[in-house]
Amino acid sequence: MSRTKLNDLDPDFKNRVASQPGGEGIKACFACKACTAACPVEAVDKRYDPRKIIRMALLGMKSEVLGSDFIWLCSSCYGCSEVCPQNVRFTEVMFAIKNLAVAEACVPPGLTVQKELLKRHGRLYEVTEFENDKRAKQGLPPITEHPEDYAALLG
Amino acid sequence: MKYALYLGCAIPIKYPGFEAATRLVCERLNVELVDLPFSCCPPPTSMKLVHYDSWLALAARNLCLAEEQGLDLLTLCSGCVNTLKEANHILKNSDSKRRRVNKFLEGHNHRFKGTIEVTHILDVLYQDTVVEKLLHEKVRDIPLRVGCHYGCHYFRPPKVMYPGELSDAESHVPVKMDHLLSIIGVEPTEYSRKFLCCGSPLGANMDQDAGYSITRQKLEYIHERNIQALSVVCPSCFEQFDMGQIVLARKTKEKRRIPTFYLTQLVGLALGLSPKDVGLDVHRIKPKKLLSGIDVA
Repeated sequence: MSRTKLNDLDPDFKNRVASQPGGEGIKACFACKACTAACPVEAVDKRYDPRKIIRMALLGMKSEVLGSDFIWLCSSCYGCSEVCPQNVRFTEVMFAIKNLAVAEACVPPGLTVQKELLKRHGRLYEVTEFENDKRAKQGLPPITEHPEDYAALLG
Repeated sequence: MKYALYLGCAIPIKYPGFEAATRLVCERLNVELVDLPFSCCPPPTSMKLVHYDSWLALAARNLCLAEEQGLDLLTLCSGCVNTLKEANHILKNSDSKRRRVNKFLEGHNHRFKGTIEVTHILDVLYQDTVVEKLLHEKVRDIPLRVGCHYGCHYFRPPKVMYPGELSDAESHVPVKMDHLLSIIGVEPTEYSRKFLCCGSPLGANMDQDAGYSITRQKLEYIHERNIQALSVVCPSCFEQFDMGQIVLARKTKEKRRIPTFYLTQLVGLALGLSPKDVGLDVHRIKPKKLLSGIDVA
């Protein structure tokens, strides 16, 4: 990672995270690293380190956090939340950070595609004759898509 | 006993066998299911990350559909139960969020009132009356060493998923699937890191390789205990184990393969349903040999 200039830091970033639903706990972290020890993703991919993400956010490294690819590696398994002695609820903090990243137009392509599918079909997989034939063979009634209200509510 | 059946996105399309098994098992165990025009939950691993308010409003819309019929909502997937239970919990407890969501829903003729509960097929089957009926209706045992995988979102965070049962516990070890399977003659087998993530959410968003590395680790622990089959209650976990073992074997040359079952498929077999009735023919790792070893054909 390149050197970070102090002037580029955003001291208000931690407050923005804390004001999002789920982000409230971030300032309680005392850096014990229990979250990192419990994280199954960190165990297989060192790019993702919960404690490091919290420290970066508290230091105000906004663009480094929101523009990174590692924040999207969280599997939201809640392993970190279970072991945290400070009740930071890091899984929820990650939801808050990712919502902020999306607001800054940093979204992995997979999620953009999912959103488009949801808008069009109201579900993650399109229902066609093929699917309903497959269902009929299993003795199941056909299903229909219900995209009504969905696009409007999805925003 | 009557529920609104919430199928979700994956099960009716990718794994109709799980749905068929569930419908047949519920019919036999006197659990009545009603179909309603639900749409995607939306999942805690995607839309919740993209836009929290939309996630909550869309979940509320699904909850309203069941509420308007006066029915509790029954889910078949760990992701769906997580979203819908959490949204129900948030909206029942926060006046400001409920007001906000109801403002969104106003234009679509819905209003969240907070009159129903959200439940999962495992919790429904675990009720006393259903278990009694199962003991009575059961026609054969399934004597296999089965490892249970619950799926993180089925039971975490416990404060939200089991608020009544656990007051303010931060961690919770689920046991219902192990107990339920022991009723049908299964030998539920413990293994290391039983509550480790399956790795599925990583594949959907970003990095399939990292996801499969977690799956591989979990499978190592499962092999250590000579487990013959896995039982899951979530289509995403199922796919991660069923498809994942095929994908992993291309790289690792691993010969051992463990068939995965959805919970109601195993219960269905014990109730005398055929492997085809419960859709076992679409599994990538075929359980045929394993089942013929215990005379289930």
